[in-house]
Amino acid sequence: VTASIAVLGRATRAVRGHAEAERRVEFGAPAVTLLLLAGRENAELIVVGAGRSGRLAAALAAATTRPLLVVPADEPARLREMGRGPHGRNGVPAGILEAAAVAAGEGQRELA
Amino acid sequence: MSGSWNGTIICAVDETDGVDAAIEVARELAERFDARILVVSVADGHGFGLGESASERQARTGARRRLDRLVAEHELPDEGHRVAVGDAVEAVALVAAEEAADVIVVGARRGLLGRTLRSSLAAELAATAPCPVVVAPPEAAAATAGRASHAHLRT
Repeated sequence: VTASIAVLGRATRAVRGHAEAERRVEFGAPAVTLLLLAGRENAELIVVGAGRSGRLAAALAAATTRPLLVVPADEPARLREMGRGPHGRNGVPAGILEAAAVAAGEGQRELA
Repeated sequence: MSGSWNGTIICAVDETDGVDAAIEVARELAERFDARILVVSVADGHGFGLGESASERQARTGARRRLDRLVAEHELPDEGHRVAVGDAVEAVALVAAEEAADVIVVGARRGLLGRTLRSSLAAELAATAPCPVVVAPPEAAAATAGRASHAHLRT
């Protein structure tokens, strides 16, 4: 739980200025829990880092009923560039892509 | 594959329910980020030429037909689609690398939550692709269409 809260803190700091972020810790099998949460929140997009094994990403991709963005660990730079572009200034895309970059950055920390 | 934004979106199409959603999501991303879409359909087999078996030729013809049908249905440009041959995941990843693609968009099967999770193109690409992957479930097509009509009403 402590590790999850620390990750949430870094993620919300990174998207500050682009989008509002609410932090939440859920308990359960990761893929199913995330998909149920996305359903409850009527989420428009789920963003997740590919991580070391890709297991969570694969489980989400196989079962999702919401659009899912999976970001490899070495991709935050490109996504940040997308978010900074002229189409990223309306808040939503920039925030989403910055969040994706954060997810990928977390993947890098896992690898290190 | 990290680096600058090249403006290329690969849309991998197969027989899943989410293929229409994948094309619509790819189109929306392309418009938003001034990118081109390359639609890729994969046929099982080892390659073109004299060594191609009858079943491989049949698979390639099927992939081409699927591509032509989707291009017509979604009114996509005549250029910007391609049949690749081989293992679907490897072939799409190879095209993405060749094209220095920024994002791969792929459709998902209709709601499998609560059932046994099966391997699929979306799942394997999400786990292994060298660039970001957007997975579009069938439900996303309706949402995309809804946003488009809403935007149209507001203009």
